[in-house]
Amino acid sequence: MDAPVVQFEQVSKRFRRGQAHDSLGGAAAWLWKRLRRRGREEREPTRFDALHDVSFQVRPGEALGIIGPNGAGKSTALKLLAGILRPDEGRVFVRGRVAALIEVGAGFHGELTGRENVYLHGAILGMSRGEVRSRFDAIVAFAGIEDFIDTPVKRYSSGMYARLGFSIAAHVEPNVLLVDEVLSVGDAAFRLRCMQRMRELVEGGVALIFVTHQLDQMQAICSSALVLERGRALALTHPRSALALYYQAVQRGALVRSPDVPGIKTPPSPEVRVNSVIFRDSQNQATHQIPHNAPMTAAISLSATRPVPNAIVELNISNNGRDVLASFNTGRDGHAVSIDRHQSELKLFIDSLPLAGGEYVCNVRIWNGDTLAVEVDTPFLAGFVMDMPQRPTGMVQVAHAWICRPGENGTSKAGLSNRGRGLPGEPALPQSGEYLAVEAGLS
Amino acid sequence: MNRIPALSGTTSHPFRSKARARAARFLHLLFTLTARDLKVRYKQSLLGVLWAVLVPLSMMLVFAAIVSRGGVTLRGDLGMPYPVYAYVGLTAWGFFSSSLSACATSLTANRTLVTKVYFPREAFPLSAVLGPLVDWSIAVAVGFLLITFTDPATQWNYRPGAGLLLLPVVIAPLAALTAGLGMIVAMGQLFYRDVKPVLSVALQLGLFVSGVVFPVPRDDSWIACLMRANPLTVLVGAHRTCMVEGRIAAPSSFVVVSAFSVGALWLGWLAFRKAAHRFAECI
Repeated sequence: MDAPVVQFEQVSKRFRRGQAHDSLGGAAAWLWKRLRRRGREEREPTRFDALHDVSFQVRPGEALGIIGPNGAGKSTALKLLAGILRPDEGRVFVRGRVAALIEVGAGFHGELTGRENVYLHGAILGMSRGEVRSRFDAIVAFAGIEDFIDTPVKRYSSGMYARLGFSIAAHVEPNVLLVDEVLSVGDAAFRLRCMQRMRELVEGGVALIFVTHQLDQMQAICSSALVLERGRALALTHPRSALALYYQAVQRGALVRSPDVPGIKTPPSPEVRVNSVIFRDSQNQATHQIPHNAPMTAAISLSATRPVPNAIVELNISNNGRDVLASFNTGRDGHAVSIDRHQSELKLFIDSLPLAGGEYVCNVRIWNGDTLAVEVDTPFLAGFVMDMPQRPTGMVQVAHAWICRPGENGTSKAGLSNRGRGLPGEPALPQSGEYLAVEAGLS
Repeated sequence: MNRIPALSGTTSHPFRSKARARAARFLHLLFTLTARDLKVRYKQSLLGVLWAVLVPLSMMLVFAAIVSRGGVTLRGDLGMPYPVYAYVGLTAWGFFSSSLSACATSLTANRTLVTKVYFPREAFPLSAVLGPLVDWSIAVAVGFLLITFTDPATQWNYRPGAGLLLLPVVIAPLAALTAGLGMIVAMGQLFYRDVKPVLSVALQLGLFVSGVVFPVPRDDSWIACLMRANPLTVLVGAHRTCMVEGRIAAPSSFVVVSAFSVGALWLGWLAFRKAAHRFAECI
């Protein structure tokens, strides 16, 4: 086995909370204060552990995923590996050439053309002019921007910008590749190509360290996963076992964010308010963690200083705050809700939400049913975590079955192998004895 | 980036070639960053490269008008027509002052690069010095042409040939001093955002005490002492006599000031090195 190219040994990194003096005037005032109370102890500025005693190592051809809720220290770990930050304690070894993709196109200059930026960014990532020249066509082809290569990048769409940025970093041919949450940009096809390219690099012996919130991406590519929570390593383990820990950490994070009432809190709106949205499981316990495929309840607490007798209430569930995956609307279902001064509770019963495991956010929108004016539109806030021991690819889990007819001569009973290949255009009804059916129960 | 961690036991035998490869990569990066700044500057301006000449030229015209019409008596010996004196001084001063201004914002203007990509941070202030060096060479070249093809050149000791050869010797200590101070102001600006305004005031005053447009008075007034003590006076003066007369005036003080400049570069770099790991978190 090859020696590790990345070693992170009991690394701690602290950051200063609050602001240090950042003007000469401020520095002079500080110095004056310090001189006046000489001898007295200067109060240490409050610091917090961005990373605390974290260790891991990565060998060539290995891919490590770093996951964790926001503020867990994932990006700090990458910046330490890239050499942008220096650890306060512990040691960071990186052998060989490092390419860090912490922000796509970080070195681009808007006024320069795509071509000029390829050379610029290549130099920033440590490539010589000859190296860039020999890979130029591959870089441009991978990004798919042949027609725009002589256009200033300020005229690029954000997708083109991101594609070019990733493409350059992916062609550095590093020993160690650091990738931070950059594949959330670009379309699905490009994301797939990025994953493909990263897999190729790993197979070619690159040590990959990959920070992401997209757990299916992480699972698809990484051989191990590090779960971080508020600077501490929860586990360094197989990606699959890391997921449960991740969800628990996300749930704890959600509780930390709103300690009193779990669920949505809206900024006080003058007339109509959403006081809270509380999710309950089948045992009617207020929770953030909903077991997959189990009944759940969402209790929306509403009040208004100006009564709205005929309101339409909508609850939206999203995985990223942009795309609504499920929407529940009283108006569409033919109900009118009356909101008045007294706090009223609106309960939504869901038999089974066919969403894949993961973190979901939700928002509430309220219309006045008479005027159709929007009364409240809350931002997307922490909702719940759908618990699922194994996270498959895809956002929606649909109850389904596979059916396969054995071969014509009837000798083979294994028309459907363990690998599970389905037959297109097959009649939906299985007949006993003639078909092998594999039921895909939802766990 | 080929980052060899300071603490790791790097094997010693390929060190030479590794160090050379790193140096080559750093130089390539430095030139690329410089080219980026120059391209961006010249791309979106109407006059483009002409700016390198127009700035010292227009300032020279202003000062020539002040000197000839404004009744200012120069209390020093010029040894050449005043427009030549001022223009040549202003090219050296322009290099110094625009380099320092560019250095001051070199880190803070490249915030995303500082916080998101690693490479030796010296590249920022050094490329901020290289860009104005290109401007300077254009301004000097045009200066040679202007002086050669105008009348006054025949009336005094004008020897451009020797000057051309000596110029690198003269600009090198000025560039070293600029780079040393530049690294200080670059990180100063990173930690304290009012370094830049303080610097601009200092540069405006510095123009008058560095022998750029007014020679050192031949007396013992405080201003004359200040100007003589100013290392820039020596460097600007050496640059001028070199370009015009093909010799270095006061060679002994030039040597002393050159050593001082190299020391300033070394100290500036040492301080910069020491603080570099804090740049990303403090910017």
